[in-house]
Amino acid sequence: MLIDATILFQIAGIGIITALIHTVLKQVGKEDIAQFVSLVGFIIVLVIVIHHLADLFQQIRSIFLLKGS
Amino acid sequence: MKIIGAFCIVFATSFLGFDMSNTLTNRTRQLKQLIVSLQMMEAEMVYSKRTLQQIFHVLRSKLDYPITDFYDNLTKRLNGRVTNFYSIWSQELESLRTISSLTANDVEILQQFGRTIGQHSAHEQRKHIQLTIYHLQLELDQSRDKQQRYATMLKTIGFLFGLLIVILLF
Amino acid sequence: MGIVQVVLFGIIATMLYLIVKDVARPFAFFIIFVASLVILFAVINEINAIIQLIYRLGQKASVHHMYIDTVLKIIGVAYITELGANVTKDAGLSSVASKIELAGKIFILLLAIPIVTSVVELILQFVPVNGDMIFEQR
Repeated sequence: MLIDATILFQIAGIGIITALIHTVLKQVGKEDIAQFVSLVGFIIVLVIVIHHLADLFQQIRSIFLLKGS
Repeated sequence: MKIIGAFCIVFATSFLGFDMSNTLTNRTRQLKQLIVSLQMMEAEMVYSKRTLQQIFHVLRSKLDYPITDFYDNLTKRLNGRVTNFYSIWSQELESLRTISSLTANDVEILQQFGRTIGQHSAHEQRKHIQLTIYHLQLELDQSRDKQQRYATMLKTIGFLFGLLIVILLF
Repeated sequence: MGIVQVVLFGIIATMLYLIVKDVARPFAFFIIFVASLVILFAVINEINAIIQLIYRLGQKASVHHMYIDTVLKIIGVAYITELGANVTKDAGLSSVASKIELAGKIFILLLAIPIVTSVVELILQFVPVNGDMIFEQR
């Protein structure tokens, strides 16, 4: 069993940094770019999360014999 | 090893941000110097009535790096036989643009000014200089505004993006 | 020790959630989501051994392996449903969560149909309702 908290820190880091970039860009009035940066950060995190989710579901299916349905 | 790479990435993007913000700061400074040089040129033309080469020589010694190079080169090129002053002026402006942080717009204003040098009486020349100074002043105001807004932002964003990339790759 | 790791992981996730919550809301949600995923992942790997044990016991008691399979499938569906329902509930959509739970219950019933039918048939064998059959058996 291997639990590492790296992924948690990664997501937290991405979240904080995108939030910071968002704030900085918003302060100078580049709101559209700020929104875009937030969206990109969100999508990146989404990709990471979905990757893990797929892993987990695969595992569940293979263990609980849910191969077909 | 990983940490060294991470530092490299953060350093590189921070440097990029600093460089971009420096371009903004430098443009303001260089525009200021150009305005000062034009004001001195006006004084020299109207009151001392020297030749262009002498004026440029005087200007050269009173300015800082990119602008002084410009006047220095002009002085040197005026030593030889000169058939068309405007072509020298525009060529030197091109090389000034590559070494300085000035935009195409700023250089265009100076190009226009170069066309008038030596074509008019001292009184009219003075008007042209003042017009150019006025235009450059507008650019300077704009540049200063931009610098205030974006200089710190670019530095911060450069650093933050470096951090983001590092976290993503970790 | 597995349990210590899991608990520490959960605590770290909670702390990160508290930190990130004020700065960036959606990312905080993702942290909780991933934490639950990873913990479940760790548990799932352990469950494999238990399932092997159940299989062996069933073979020794000569239970038909269809029944064990069905029970395992039901447990799997329950796990997935629980995960999905909890995540949606965390995100503040309890109505969607209840729908997911409903779907999970229905799928479990669906999986249980063969067992239920066989039980009913068994009962019908024990308790004859048809008069002819009573007569015949006597």
